[in-house]
Amino acid sequence: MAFAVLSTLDMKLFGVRASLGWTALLTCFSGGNLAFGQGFQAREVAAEANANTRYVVEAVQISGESGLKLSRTLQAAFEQLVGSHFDPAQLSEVSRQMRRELHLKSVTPHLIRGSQPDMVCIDFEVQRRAVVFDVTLPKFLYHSKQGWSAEGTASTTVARYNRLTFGLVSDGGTLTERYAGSAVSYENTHVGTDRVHLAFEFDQLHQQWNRATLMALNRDPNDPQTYRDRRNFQPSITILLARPLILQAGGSFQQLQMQPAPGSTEPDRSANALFATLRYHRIFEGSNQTQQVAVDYNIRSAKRAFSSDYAYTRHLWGANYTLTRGNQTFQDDFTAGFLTGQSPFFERFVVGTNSLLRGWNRFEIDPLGGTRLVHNSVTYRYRLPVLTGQVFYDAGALWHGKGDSGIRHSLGVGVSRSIFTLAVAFPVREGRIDPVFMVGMNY
Amino acid sequence: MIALTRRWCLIAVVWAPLALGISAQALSVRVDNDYLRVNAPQLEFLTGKPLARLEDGNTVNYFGQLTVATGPERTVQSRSVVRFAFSYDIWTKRFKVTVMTPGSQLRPSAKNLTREAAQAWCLDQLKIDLARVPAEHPVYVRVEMRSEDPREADRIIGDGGINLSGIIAVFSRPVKDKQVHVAEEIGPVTLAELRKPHP
Repeated sequence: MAFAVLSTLDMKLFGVRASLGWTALLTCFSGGNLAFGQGFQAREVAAEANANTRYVVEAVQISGESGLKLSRTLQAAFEQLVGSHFDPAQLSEVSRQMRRELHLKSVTPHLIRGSQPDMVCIDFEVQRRAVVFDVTLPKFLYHSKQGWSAEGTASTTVARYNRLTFGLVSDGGTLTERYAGSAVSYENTHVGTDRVHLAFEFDQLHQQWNRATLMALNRDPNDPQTYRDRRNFQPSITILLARPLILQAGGSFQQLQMQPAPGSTEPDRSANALFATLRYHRIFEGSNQTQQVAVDYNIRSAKRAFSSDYAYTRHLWGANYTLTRGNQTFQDDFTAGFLTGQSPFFERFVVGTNSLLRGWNRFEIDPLGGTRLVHNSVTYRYRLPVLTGQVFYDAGALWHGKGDSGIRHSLGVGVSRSIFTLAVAFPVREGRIDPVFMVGMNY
Repeated sequence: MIALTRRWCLIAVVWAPLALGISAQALSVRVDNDYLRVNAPQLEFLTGKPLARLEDGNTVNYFGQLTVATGPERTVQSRSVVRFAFSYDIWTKRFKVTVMTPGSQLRPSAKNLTREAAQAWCLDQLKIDLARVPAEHPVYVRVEMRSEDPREADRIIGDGGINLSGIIAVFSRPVKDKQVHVAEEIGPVTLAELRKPHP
C-alpha cells in the first residue's frame, strides 16, 4: 500500500489509499464523542447514526501548526483513516492520540468535501500549548555486572520554539568510568527557519573509576589520567540539509578536574574540541514491509590551538538497517571507531556495554578503553500478541593502534513489551558460561 | 406627553395581540390519538457550537425531554425522554437524526432533512401517553432540548436505558460553554381544552 506524504509548510497531506475496502475499524478504536458506555455495539450504532459514514476518506491533513513530528503510530493511524469509510469514533480516537502524543492544546477535526462526491477529506486543525512541559526517562537499565544506569530529563517549551531541558544521569555502562551528574540545555528550534536549530548545553559530571581501570593505569603511566569532575559547555547548530539528511556541528569545551596521586596536586585540564555529525535516516514503506536505513558519521577534533591540553581526532561511523515484515523484524547495526592522538578517557571506545558485545565484561576486554573499534550486531525479533521475543548476535573487536585484541562474539535472547526489555546475553568463549542479565527500558 | 401616551397606546393596541400570538405559537400542544405531542417551530436548538461540530462532520447527541407538570411548583406528573444523534451530511447539506434508545434494536431515524425539519422531527418523537396526563387539573407542558456533554452521558446511559434521576440532574444543571439548552413551556391548560378540535 502506497503511503505518500505531501508536505507543505503548514500542512501534511496523506494521499489516497489504493484499496478502498471498508474494514471494520470500529473494533479497533474506543468510542469518541459518543460516550455510550456499551462497547462495540454502541460504537456501531454511533457510526450508523452519522450520515457521512457512507463516504470514503480521500486524504488527511494537518493545519494550524508547522513542524509537527508524527510518530510511527500516528502515521499508521492516519494511514488507516485514508481509504476507509469515515468513522466518527475513529476520528475522535486519532484526535485524542494526536493531542496526547504531540502535547497539543487542541485538535479539532473538520470533515471537508473531497474531490469527488463520495469522497471526504479530514483536516485536523491543531493548536500548540503556549508552554509545554515534558518529563522523559530516556534510559533506565539494570545490568547484572555494571549495576544501574538511568537518565531522566524534564523539558519545557516556551514561546513555541524555545526548549529548556534539565537532566540527571548516572551511567555505568557506556564509558570506561561511571559518570553521574546533571545537564542543562537551551535549544531554539526555529532560527529563521525550522531547518536550523541552535543549542547550548552545560553538563556537570562526577566520575567514579573501576578498580580494574586504576590498576591498569598503574601498570602503564603513559595512558591518560583519571579525572574526578568534568564540566562541558557545548554550543551547537543543527541544520536540516535535506529531508533525511541532518548536519550537527559545534564545539565541546570541557574542563577536567584531575584526580591527583596521593600527596600531590594536579592542575585542571581542558579538552576543547570541535565536532560535526552527519545523519541520514530514511524509512521506505512498501506494501507489506518497512525498511529503515540510518547512517551516522561523527568527527571530534581537539587541537592545542583551541587551548586544549589534549590533541586528538575521533571518528565514529554507525549504520543501521531494519527490515520489518508482518510480525518479524530483522536489524543489523554496524559501528566503527578510530581515534588518534592523546585523548581523555571519555573519548575512548568501549565494548561489553549495554549495546556493544553484550554479555562481555568491558574491564576484562580492556579496562582503559580502546582507540580502534569494529562491531556488528544482528537482531531478529518476532512480535507475539503480548510480547516481542528477540535473539541477537554481537561480534566486535576493540584494540589500540599497535595491538589486536581479536574478534569476540556474544549471543543473547530477550523479551520486550512496549519500551521494557528483559535480556540475557552470553559471551561466546571456551570454558565457563557466564551470562549477563539486563532489564530496563529504552536501551 | 399626551401625544406620547397616545402613541404608546396605539403601539400597544396594534402590537400586543401580535406579540401574544407569536408567544402563544412558540409552543403548541396537540392530542394525537392517545398521545400528547408538541409543536415548537421557533424552538431552535441546532445552533451554536453543536451546529459547528455537526458541520465538521461529527455526530452530536441531544437529550429531549417533554414533561407534564401541575401546580405553581411544577410538580412533574409524567415525562418523556429521548436521546437523539444528529449528523450533517457535508455533501447534501442535510441532517440525519436517529433515536438512540439504549438496549433497543429499534432506532427510528430520518435523513435528508433541513435544519427546521430535523428539529421538528425530533420534537415529534417526544410524546406522553394521555392516560398519564391528569384530567382534573390544569397542566403545564414543557419541552426541553439539551446538547449532550459526553461526561454527562456516561452517568445517564446504562445497560438498563436512561437513568431518570440522572436525566433530571442533567436538565437542572447550568450549560457549559459548548452546550445548547433551550426550553419552552405552555400552560396552564386542561386536558379537555387540549382535546378540543382547533378551529
